[in-house]
Amino acid sequence: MSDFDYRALDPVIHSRLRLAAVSLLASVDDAEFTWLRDAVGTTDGNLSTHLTRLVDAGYVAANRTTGVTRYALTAAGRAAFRTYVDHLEHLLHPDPVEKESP
Amino acid sequence: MDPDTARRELADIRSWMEEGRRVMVETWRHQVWWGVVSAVALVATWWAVEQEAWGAAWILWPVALTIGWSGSALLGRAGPPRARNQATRAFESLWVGTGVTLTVVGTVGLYGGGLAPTAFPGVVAAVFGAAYFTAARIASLPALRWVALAWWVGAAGLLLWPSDASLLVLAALALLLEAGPGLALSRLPEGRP
Repeated sequence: MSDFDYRALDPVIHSRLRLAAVSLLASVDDAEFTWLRDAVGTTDGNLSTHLTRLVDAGYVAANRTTGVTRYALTAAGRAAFRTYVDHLEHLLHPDPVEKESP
Repeated sequence: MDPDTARRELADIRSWMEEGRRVMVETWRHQVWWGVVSAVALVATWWAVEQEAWGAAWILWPVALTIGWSGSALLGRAGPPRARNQATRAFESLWVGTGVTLTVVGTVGLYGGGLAPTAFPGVVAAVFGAAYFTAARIASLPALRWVALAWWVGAAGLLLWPSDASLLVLAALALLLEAGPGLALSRLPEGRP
């Protein structure tokens, strides 16, 4: 059995809706609120709440131009997402021997 | 978290990321617009040539190109697509590049005398063939390769048998293979196939 500690998962991303938003944003340069809402399949209010949490954490940047807000993953958001996915993969495929630091 | 939950979560992440990669550009409006403008201008040019109204034939294209690019600029004001990725940017660049190429060929080439008017329809068709072949790969829409093939077959025919009627053939190709695919793309959902 793995010694995986679920507490290592980033609590900002570890929510189904925020994980969906971050995953979608990881695959595009930027996107409008309505595209994210339709792709995630949620309400405006719900998505807005979760996006605010991601923006506050510095994982997502919101850029409002000509009346439309576009969202993009920041470098910190990309790194956090990569780490999150690595943790999940580690849970499924834990290293048999722990490597020593160089 | 147990391994099954992690496995499901990773599958969801893959699915969401796949959704993002399938983002389609909304260039179809430009394709329909240019297909119709080109067809009208080509038919008008054919008519002018038939009437031996050479002055009208030569003035038509600067007018058509001005109308075409003005319309494209207005369509562009609708704003960028709701989501953008590398493919959408490549797709947009491809069509802007194709438009500029054909504008240069159609103005400098024809008016400068470097390109024979009878060769023009075939060259246009060949350029569109290359553009659609590239578009098929960028947009992951293999059906567009058949459109490219049709353009190339048309180009070969137009270059083999140049005539005044070539303008009408090119007008038909513009409607069928430029405006037509544009309309077909408009029916795809944003995330498409």
